[in-house]
Amino acid sequence: MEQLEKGTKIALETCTSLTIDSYIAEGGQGQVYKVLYEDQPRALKWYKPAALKKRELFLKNLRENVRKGSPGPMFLWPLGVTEEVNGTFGYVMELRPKRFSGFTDFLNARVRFANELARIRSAIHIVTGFQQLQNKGFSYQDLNDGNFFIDPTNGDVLICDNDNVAPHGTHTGIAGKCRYMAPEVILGKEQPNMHTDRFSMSLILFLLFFMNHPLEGQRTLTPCLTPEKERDFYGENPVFIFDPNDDSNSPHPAIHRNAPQLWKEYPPYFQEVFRKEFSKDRMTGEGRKHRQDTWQWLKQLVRLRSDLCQCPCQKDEFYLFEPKSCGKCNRRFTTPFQIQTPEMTIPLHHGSEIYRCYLDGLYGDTETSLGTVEYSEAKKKWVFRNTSGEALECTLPTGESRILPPERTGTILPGLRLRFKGLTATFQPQN
Amino acid sequence: MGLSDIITEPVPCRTMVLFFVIDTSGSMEGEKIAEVNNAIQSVIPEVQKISEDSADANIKVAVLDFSSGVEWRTLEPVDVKTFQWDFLQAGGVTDLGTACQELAAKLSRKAFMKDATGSFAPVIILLSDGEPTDDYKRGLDVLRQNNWYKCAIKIALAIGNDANQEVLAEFTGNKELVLTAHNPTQLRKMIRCVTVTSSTIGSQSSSVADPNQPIDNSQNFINNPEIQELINAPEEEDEW
Repeated sequence: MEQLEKGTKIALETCTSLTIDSYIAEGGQGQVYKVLYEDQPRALKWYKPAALKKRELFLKNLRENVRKGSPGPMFLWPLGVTEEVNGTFGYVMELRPKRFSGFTDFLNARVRFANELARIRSAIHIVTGFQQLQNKGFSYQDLNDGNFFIDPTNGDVLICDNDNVAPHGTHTGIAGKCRYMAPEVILGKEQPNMHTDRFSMSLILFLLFFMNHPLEGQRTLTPCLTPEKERDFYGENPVFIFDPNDDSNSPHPAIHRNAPQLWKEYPPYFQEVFRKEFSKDRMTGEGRKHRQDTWQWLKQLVRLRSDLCQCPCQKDEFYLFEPKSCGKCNRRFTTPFQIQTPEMTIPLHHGSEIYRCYLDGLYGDTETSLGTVEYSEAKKKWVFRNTSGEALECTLPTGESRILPPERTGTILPGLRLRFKGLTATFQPQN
Repeated sequence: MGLSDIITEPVPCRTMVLFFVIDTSGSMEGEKIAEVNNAIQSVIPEVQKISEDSADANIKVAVLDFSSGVEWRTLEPVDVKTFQWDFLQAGGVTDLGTACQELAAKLSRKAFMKDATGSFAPVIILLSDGEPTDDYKRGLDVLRQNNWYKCAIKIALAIGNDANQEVLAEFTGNKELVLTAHNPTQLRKMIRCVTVTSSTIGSQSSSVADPNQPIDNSQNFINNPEIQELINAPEEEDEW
């Protein structure tokens, strides 16, 4: 396919136009250019002629996506569709900033997360993206590793290839990759839908945390992956590498070396989520209609984040689901207090953040923190530091009310209650 | 031990071996072999990019040339990231049968297909401009028994009208998988397009366009829009 020349003007269906600036890359479906659109630098995806099997349906869906608008800021969403030029067309979207790397680069270990918090944040963003997409009634058609771009320093996420997104239940004729698809789609029992997206989401999250494919173990180490075997491994008889009831596909010690090391570092409740999602019932049985939804995932990921402990020596980090010492400076970490929320109990360690979402249990905002829990060496006491920027109302165990101004600390006592915008959290000694 | 002590490796992926089987008989001398050399050399960076951008496969390259006898230019499949094309010289007869036998010998878990993580079905690109001078049927019969060959994406590029299209179709098992280049420009374009497209299709986890149809990567290759463009291009006058 010839490249479009710099300066070429292309009209959009909305009577505006764009100007080609430079060629960026080429993929299976088409090329991507940097363009000038409405005086702003933007990206143009330009399809190869005949790359689309159900062209009219695809185009109709693309126009509809433009009309409905982006589900959220992390989507590189189609902003406008071009007129047809030389038998093909394209759409305009935001440019991807350079700080983002493809998820493929993470899988190939060419890019690594700066720390575990960035990894968890990226997982939360990916799930939030799914949630926003599903809230608008959309599902992915060909979810795979090429859809996500992540900032390794902080876990920010961009979701691309949103031209293939379509309303739940429709099918735009886009082919997906077996390695990322739900078994029922591979077997032709279902078109991609909300439930199959949930499977793909669990798969992406497993890859993100454990750096091995959840269904590739000893059983799948076959000399030649024929299409028949692919159907078998990913469609008919998928087996989770950590299936407690079937060890036929457990990791090969010389080949699948990431997951066995990483798995045991994670809390048992987090392992259990994957055991359940990749159980035979949820993969190929009746349970496939009951796969974990985005709200449950967010709850688990927020809980996981609460257990993450970054040692002040900055040399080690670990999940504190049992008392541990830093492997580098030997500092001992315990969780003497916990807070009770409507949804869960959060053990608190030195450095714990009290997120607002602990209190409301909604997970629409997983980032806002009310303050941090610290052990004050000077006072030999556990304190809460108000970092919310607002005065917080506290109720002491005696029933007395106090105001904790921003940036001030208050001693944590069993029974201390924290009030924020009508929400309450109670500090308790850990059981 | 904490998380910071665990240095993760790339997620294991399968290997996809891209075979070039090249006729270097006397008739290829001059412009033809020069164009083949240039075209393959210049497409390698594109295959490197396909391999780099994929978390599904690692692409390796193996090169066999045949004239009076055969010779592997790669002792084993070489990772495309480090692969360098050595220019081939032409001279001699067209021992296609021997090439088929040699290919069959190496398409084995005990030879070229031994990667521990397993392999995708290979891609085999055959380039020839003439008639086999040996008993090609015997060699081809041996090759046809080979299971790797059976599931491979096999493509033949006929260079000029003197290439025996029937023989090449026997090799690929499908007439649609024999493409004819009638001039240097066309040959270069075909080598690039066929190499890039087959590497892309062959190195992916299969795509399921219509789950009710069996997955067939050769058919996916033929259906690719750029390959369709080559197949449907108007017949050009033969310049060779």
